[in-house]
Amino acid sequence: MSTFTAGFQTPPSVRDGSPVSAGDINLLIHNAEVLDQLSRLPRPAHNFISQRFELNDANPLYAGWYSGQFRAGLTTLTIVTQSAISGDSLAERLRVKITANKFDPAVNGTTRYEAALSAGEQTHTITISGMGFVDLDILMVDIEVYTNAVAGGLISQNWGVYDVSDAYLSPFSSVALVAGAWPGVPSFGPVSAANVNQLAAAQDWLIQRMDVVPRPLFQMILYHQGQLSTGTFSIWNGSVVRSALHDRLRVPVLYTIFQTPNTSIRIRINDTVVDTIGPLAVGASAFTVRAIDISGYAAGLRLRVRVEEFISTYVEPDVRPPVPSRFSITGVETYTAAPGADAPPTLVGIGTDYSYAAVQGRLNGVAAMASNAYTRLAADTWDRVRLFRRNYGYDPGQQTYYSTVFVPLSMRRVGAALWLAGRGIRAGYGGAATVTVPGGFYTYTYTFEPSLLPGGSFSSARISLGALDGLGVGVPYILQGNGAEIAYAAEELR
Amino acid sequence: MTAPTDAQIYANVSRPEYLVEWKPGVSWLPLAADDIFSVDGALEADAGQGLAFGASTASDLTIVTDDVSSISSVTPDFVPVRVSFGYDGSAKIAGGAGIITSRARDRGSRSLTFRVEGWQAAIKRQPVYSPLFNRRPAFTATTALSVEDPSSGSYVAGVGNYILWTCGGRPLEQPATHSGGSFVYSCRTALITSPWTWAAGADSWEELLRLTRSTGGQLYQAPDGVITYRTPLDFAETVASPFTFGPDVYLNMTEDRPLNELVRIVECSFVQRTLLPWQEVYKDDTARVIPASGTLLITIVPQWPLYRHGPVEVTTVDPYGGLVTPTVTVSDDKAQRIILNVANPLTRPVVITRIRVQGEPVAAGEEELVEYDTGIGSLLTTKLTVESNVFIQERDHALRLGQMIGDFYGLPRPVRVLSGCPFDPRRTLGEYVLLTDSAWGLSAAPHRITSIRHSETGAVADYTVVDVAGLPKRSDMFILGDSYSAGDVRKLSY
Repeated sequence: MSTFTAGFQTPPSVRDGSPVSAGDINLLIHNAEVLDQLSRLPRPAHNFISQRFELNDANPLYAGWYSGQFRAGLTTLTIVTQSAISGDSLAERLRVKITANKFDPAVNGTTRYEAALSAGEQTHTITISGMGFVDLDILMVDIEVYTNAVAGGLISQNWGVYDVSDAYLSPFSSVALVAGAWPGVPSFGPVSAANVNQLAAAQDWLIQRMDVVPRPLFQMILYHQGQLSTGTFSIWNGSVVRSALHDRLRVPVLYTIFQTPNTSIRIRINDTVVDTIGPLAVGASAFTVRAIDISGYAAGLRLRVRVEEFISTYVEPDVRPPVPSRFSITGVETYTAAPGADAPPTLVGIGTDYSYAAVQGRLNGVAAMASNAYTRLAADTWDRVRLFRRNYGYDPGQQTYYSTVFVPLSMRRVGAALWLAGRGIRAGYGGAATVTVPGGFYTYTYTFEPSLLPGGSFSSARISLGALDGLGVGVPYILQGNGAEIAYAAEELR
Repeated sequence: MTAPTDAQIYANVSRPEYLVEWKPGVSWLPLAADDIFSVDGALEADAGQGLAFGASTASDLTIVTDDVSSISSVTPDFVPVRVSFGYDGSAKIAGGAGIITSRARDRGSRSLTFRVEGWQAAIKRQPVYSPLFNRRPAFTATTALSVEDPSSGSYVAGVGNYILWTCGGRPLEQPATHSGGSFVYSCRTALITSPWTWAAGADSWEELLRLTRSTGGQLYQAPDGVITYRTPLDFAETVASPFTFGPDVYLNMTEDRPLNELVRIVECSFVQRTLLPWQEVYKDDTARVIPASGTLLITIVPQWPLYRHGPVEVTTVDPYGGLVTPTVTVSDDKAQRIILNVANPLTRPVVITRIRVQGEPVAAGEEELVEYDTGIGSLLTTKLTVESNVFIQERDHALRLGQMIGDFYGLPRPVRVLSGCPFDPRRTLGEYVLLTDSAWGLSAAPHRITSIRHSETGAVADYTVVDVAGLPKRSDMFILGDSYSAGDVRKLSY
């Protein structure tokens, strides 16, 4: 029989009176393996920003620009803020603008929510089901902090700090499926068409259920520039939820320490240092993937994650000008330390003799795997989808710069398609090389760089990833383009 | 009377008889035997080796009549004809049917020759549009209770059955329906199911053959006129008291075993089909004028077959200003064709400026290729490339089909032509028979009849049979829905 290399395939549909098919059983086994693995997929972190802005940068302050895809059945956009309120009675307020399918950042969105900002963690629940959005609309979500207390120039010296520590759409369990309600799994018993078709329907339901959950790309930080002074400096901020499925936090860090001895990289969860890289010597350069045990946190708990540069004692280098360290964060996610897999039944052979009990055993094994996958979908991983973090430059120059340091990354291609909105976007995968642009920014070249969205006008498209040469399942890829504006990027499983 | 007996058929002086009937109106009318000079015919399940799937099939009759008889006054275009054969004192058994597709006259010989093609000639002339079927076998078993009428509201049969019924076929197993149709069909459930099947208005016989090739199987017209779909597991299925061909039946036997048909590699392409989310599936800005109080018939042909769609939006304007709301009635709604009646409610002409439909299409992905190694033969063997087929949509389907092809006709089997036989109207196409010939070392060797050519108005015939020894067959397999004990051992099918 065949060697299975492809992804999920349409489960069989059979009739009583037909021969029991080894091909159908193998297909069900193969699908069971795919569903088992998909249900355990890592989950990218909520991505806030590399450095937290303060209100003195602008009023209103663009606290976060995000995007997400509306699906019929979703009711809620949840935004969680973590604020240190100004001590100057600024009465800071949060304002959320949501606009469908307007991908140009110059478009001033429609204000859909406003609230007074309070100190500490604050959850903003925004009902979006009555806002007129239709299935598959891509929502641009602009989150602003502003104050009316200061007219004209900003004069306060005691600004607050405003993090968006989570932003997600939910509940994806309410998105209607073509497959309808969960059909349950049968017990074999008789190997009948009714039982086989119920098992096939269960697999079909599972893939559809997972398929409605988009997988936004992670906004990777490339060559973030460190500091040249003693102190603690933010590199990346975001959050994860300790899901029932996942017990580890993965933080991949690429660093190069040029001239600042006494530098460490620290990872904090809820302000507590949980992992430290270093102190690092001058010249240290490595790519390290940190696996942080989060099993001690309660399931469902939101964990604010920060990666920071810590220079205990800054020493002025002899060489002028001094060169700061560089840091890249290439994908933060939660996962399971020992994900394992349900052991699939052994494949069967066409034209080979089997006992009836052996056939029943194979099918019951598939049913058990489907049932287990269904149970895993109860975790919030499959009910809430974090928004995609957009870039936002105040002007084209800033946008061009950001397009080189904030780069959407698929840590591994799992989907069949990519929903994309923006302009001037290419994919990049395969071997990578850094190219210095004289008088400009550095850039990268890749073995494969297919164009995905043209420049010029903003547009959106659903791109079949399988049609791109060399982009197999599991291959990481980035989205790029000189001055590319990427309004939304998320994979779809099928 | 009973069917012809061996004594009647194999008598030293046999007395064959025939009956030719046609149906120029609503009833079958016999043609006077005196007016008929000859009836010759051929029925073939397949050219070549006889086991290929869905390959060329033929059912032809040539009837030569007296040109001066009353027959010549009838316009014969596409008139149904059926022929039955028997022997003096026996009942006559159906031996061919179809429609007249050509007429030739010869003044010198006073002859009028009709060519009668099998029902495929009628089927191919009737384009059929169907809904989109998901995970449904292309052919489903016809039984006394199977719902075959697509308009019944509880239709669950395959698209092959849909085409056959729509073209005028009625299920053999439901005699009460036969008077409402023009021919009869009988199907088994296909062994492989495509995710998506539909009929899109092409040559319906070709569509049926495409479906047959995609599932592995054969579609042919049996001597009794029944359009028959059988799976390869039926090819070698044994029957009680099979007929035996021996030297006492045939005058000569020839054999062919073309080694150039050895197949080592079966190459099969497939194109994955994906159900896309809700989107615009049709837009037409062609201006169309509807006369005052008039109705316009509009046919919409979407690019992709539609799983479902929303209301057809017809933007209509009054040339004197303002939008008009026409009455839009969908008179036919199929996967790849929607027929609209748009009625103008005003007593002056109006103009349709846009027609737009939103829905969920099933789109094609990229063509991919798989190879199945049959393990047959040596370096001298060849690669068989399966013709591209819209209904082969997944990798596993392609591989299973490859294995089936390898098993059934990857290894050339002796094809034997038994010539000079008395015409036995009891023999049927696809029949399991035995062959005994001591000179060639054959003793009750299992064979399958793959063609019947009769001549001399039912007096003599040539039979082509193919050796089916060792082929997998249905009775070796577990059957869905049947009862077994845990320890029962059977094989598994494709």
